[in-house]
Amino acid sequence: MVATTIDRMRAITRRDFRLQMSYPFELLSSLWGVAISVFMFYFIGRLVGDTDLLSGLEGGYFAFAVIGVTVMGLSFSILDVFRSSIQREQANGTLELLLASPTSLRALLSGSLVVPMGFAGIQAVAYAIFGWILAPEALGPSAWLRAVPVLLLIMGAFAAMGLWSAAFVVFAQRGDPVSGMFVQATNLLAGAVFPIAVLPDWLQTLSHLVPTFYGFEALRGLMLAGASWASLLDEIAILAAFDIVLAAIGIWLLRRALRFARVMGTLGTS
Amino acid sequence: MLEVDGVSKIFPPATGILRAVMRTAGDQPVTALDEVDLSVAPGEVVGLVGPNGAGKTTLFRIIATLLEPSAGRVVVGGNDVINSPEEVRQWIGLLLEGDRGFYQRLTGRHNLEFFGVMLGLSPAASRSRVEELMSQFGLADRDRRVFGYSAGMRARLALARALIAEPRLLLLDEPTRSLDPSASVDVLDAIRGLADVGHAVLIASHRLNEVVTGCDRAVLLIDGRVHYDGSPDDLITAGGMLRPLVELVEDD
Repeated sequence: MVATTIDRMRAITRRDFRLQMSYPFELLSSLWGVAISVFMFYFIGRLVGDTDLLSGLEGGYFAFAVIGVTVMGLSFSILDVFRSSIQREQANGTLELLLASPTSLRALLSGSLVVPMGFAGIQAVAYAIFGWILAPEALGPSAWLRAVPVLLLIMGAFAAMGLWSAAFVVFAQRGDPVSGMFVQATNLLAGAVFPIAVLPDWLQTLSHLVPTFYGFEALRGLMLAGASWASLLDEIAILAAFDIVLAAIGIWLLRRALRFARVMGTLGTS
Repeated sequence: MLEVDGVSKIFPPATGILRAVMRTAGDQPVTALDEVDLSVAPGEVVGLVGPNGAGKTTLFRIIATLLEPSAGRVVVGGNDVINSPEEVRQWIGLLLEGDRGFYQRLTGRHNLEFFGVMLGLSPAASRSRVEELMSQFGLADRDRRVFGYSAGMRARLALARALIAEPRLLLLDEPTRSLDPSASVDVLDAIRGLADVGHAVLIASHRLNEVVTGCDRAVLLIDGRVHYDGSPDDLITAGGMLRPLVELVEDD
């Protein structure tokens, strides 16, 4: 019997789950961090009170910020998956063994997504539950369920940037500047935890170059403003186009980086 | 089974912006292999012997599709390593750098089960093969997380992993490096057993006595060049121009 691609991805998932379970307190401490973060934004929301900048959005600043931190938590996890996976394999001395095996790069990358995304998903659910408790009218389960397609598109953009990040690590054997720049740009320009209306005009213009800006616009429109899908088609189409272009470039960059490492002899070097 | 034909490898220097960005590349080209010819037939154990830095691991990486040669051709089971790397990977079992390359927080059994599937076995076949190999290498009753393994146990685990999918070509880089003499003999016996049932085996070693004991043929590689390809016994008794080279290996 020969292993199928699904067998290989399941084996990677099982390995990652076992490795994750060998650090039993990691999930607990991350859930503690989620709780602290939600309560912090709750009290900031009380400080800010009702502001004209968020008029038309239900739940005030607290609901606005909880959506931002939930999505950013999920997205940062996915952004980091490929890079941290490659760095771990390099440090273990297993990267070359895997790349010399008949398992395809696609199966290796896809399989390595499952467990980190599962754990990030648990954190996201914890954010959503705390948000629901503190703002039941705005952040109920139905609002989150309605937003799932947009959430997936936002995570797609971060996964694509994760491929860029992994390519840099393979190329230079060091931490990459790509993910840091993308995260900082998202934090500042995409409207993660404050509306971009507070930014100067020229920075607001730059916001339109950040894919997650469109994701947040669509998410908050759906969840907090009762907007219809039809009214958000532009934002969703732009975000989907970003996903496709960024992922295509990311895959190309990673293949080029692996080829380069095969010429330079740096494939297994950490 | 394995044909290496005029293979050279020159590691290019990193220049300009590459030099600033890359952490590990040098600033001068380095010739690691220089027109190396080598072959291994099914059922044959060939010892690639040379001092540290001779180019043995570089050659292994090229055969295993992990490194591109600068010139020459490598064919495994009729498949070229550059044009058909996916096919080549179906043929090889690899042991690189002795006992490295495990997930330290997983047990030896879980490591092997994982690699078994990555190397092409179904999950059920992988589990069954792991039990067989753990018993064969005396690890079945002593299994624990790999960070608790002794160096000798890790070496045996690494060899078990190379064998797990019963590859037709085994590439073993210093397979006995961390083993005591008696365990080394056991491993060499196991390798001989594999060759007897038709596997081709290429062993890299810097121990001449190991090559004499366990191999059908010896290839002497020094500074990236093949200086001898023939009987291990004749190599060890060689005189003339070969003698200083043999002593170089013996002194390493």
